[in-house]
Amino acid sequence: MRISRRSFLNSASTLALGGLIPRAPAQGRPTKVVLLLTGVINDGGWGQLAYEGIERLRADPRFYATYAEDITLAQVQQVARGYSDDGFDLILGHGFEFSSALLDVAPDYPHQAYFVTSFIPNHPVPRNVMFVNMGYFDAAYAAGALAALISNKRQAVGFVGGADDPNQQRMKLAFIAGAQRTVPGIRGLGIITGDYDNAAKGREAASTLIGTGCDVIWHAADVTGLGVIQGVAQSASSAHVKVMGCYSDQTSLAPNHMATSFEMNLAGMVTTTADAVANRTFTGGTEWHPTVDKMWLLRAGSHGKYNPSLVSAQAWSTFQQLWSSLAQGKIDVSAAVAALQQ
Amino acid sequence: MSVFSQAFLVTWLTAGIRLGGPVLLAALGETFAERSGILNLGIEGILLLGALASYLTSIHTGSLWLPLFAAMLTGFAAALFLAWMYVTVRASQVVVGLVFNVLALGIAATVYRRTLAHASPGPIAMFQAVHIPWVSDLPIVGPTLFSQTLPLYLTLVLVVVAHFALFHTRFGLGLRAAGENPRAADAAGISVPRMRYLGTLISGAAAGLAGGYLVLAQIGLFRDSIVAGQGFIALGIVIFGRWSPWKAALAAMVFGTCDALQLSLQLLGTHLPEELLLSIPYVVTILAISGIFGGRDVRPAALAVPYAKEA
Repeated sequence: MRISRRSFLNSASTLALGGLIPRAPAQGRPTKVVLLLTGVINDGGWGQLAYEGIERLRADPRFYATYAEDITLAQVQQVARGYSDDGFDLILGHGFEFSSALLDVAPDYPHQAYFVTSFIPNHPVPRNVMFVNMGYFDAAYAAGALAALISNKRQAVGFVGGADDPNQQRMKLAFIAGAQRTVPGIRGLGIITGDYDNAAKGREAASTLIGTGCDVIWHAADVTGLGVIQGVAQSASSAHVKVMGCYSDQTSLAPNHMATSFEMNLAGMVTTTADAVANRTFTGGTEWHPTVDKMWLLRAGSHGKYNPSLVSAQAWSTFQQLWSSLAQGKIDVSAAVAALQQ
Repeated sequence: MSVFSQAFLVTWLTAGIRLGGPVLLAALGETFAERSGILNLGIEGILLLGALASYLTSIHTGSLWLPLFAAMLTGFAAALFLAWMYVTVRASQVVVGLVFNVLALGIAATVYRRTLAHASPGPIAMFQAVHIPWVSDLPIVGPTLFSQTLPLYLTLVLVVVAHFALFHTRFGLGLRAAGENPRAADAAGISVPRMRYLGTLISGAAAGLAGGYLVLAQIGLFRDSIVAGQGFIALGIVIFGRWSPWKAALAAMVFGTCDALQLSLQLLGTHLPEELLLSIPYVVTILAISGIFGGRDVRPAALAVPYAKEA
């Protein structure tokens, strides 16, 4: 292999400047942050919550924050490279779709930081790319447990997932494991709709679960999940059916049926990461592991954390113990899922 | 629960018919456009604009029927622009239709964000299932066919109207002639541009109405991604239905029930891969429109071919 003088000098200067560690923005200039989304910023969930982090950064003079939405898979790499060329200090790819594209782009811009809201891949990653484990499976396990605890009929509880990806499949299993381990004898059921944006199909998934005997349903399906909530609210037997929201506080969508919502603290994730880049504490090449109680917040509108007319104090108390155990790592969700798969 | 249990059948078929409703309405309109020789690929965008118009109207009026009318009117207005591009300008129908869908998404996202995104208005008033005495209580067919919403019944009535209009009126004859052999139609004194304008306008009005149906009878909310390809599915249903309203109705219900079947089968523990179950409606549609089972001969001969009268 021939090494040109130019590439040798480039490599030497890179090593001298600290390898692939992102450099702090120049003095007096705001940290430039961009959020990249394949969805939209007003989806009422996944995209919107992350965008709220961008809005918080905009209110802080230390940052210049912007976003790009509706990016097709074919455009992901091109868009990421474009913002890198424009000198953005932090490029946040919101979703697993950005994983391989940012891994490709990042080595070419060693002094800029990249963050992917997805699990770290199994191979080594550049030191300027960080991933995050958002505690999906712990949250899904907790949701299954809470669903089982607030079920009146104690027959079955259901989960509705979005795209048919390994993350959603595993969330379904974690939900089922949480329900069945918390209330022995109850059945945990799950439907993967194959789509994050099809509210009509979400509604029918909810109807199907209700028709099968489920009286508590949780979704993790973004816009499809909005249909799930409507499916519960519009169902002929809806008087006895409860629903739990996901990603954001969805109480206003079905106030009489929404027991609680598992809200993702995505805005906090965005601001924490941006702060780390600005303060030069960003540690790429790793996966960040916030605990489930930091990454997921329980909200029920004006009720506080849960709707007391749908969740008994006793059920909530039992759930709180489980929630605390999950946060402390005392419950092995992976083992529970593995046991279910056998 | 087994596939032969009443609960399974009722849940599956009811969901299937509900899923097929808006797609059928859009497909009915598209049948008119395609019978006249216009391939209106812009119906995905029109569905979205119709959905937005109905949602905004519902928020401001609280009415159920006025939003449906607003959706239809919006679809009509959008189709007027498309018809001008297709018929008068004689632009490529494929390119105009596809680009219009992108434009419609931009318009819907902008209008929604400027007017409502920060207000979070939540769900609107929706059409409820109608309980028809006696028949709604019949086993299986009662809840499946006779406990649906008014927009579905309206759509089924429109199937009859569309069939009559296309195959038993002078207007229908002229429309079909414009799509089969525009030169011969012209020689017979039929105004081909007029027929094609009418076909596109009917298609737009129906697609707008389908968007309203989606919001007012199924979801009760608006997001700029809610149409989720249903306009494109309607295009497939037109081919699946061999450009006939009756067959389109059958095709839409087959698609809807296949779509709902994969939801129900996931709960049965069939051990079939979910990827396979999720693909059922699309595999059925692709096979149906492939021409393997016949039907190529009923495609309007001048579909997507611009027409210019010889000097």
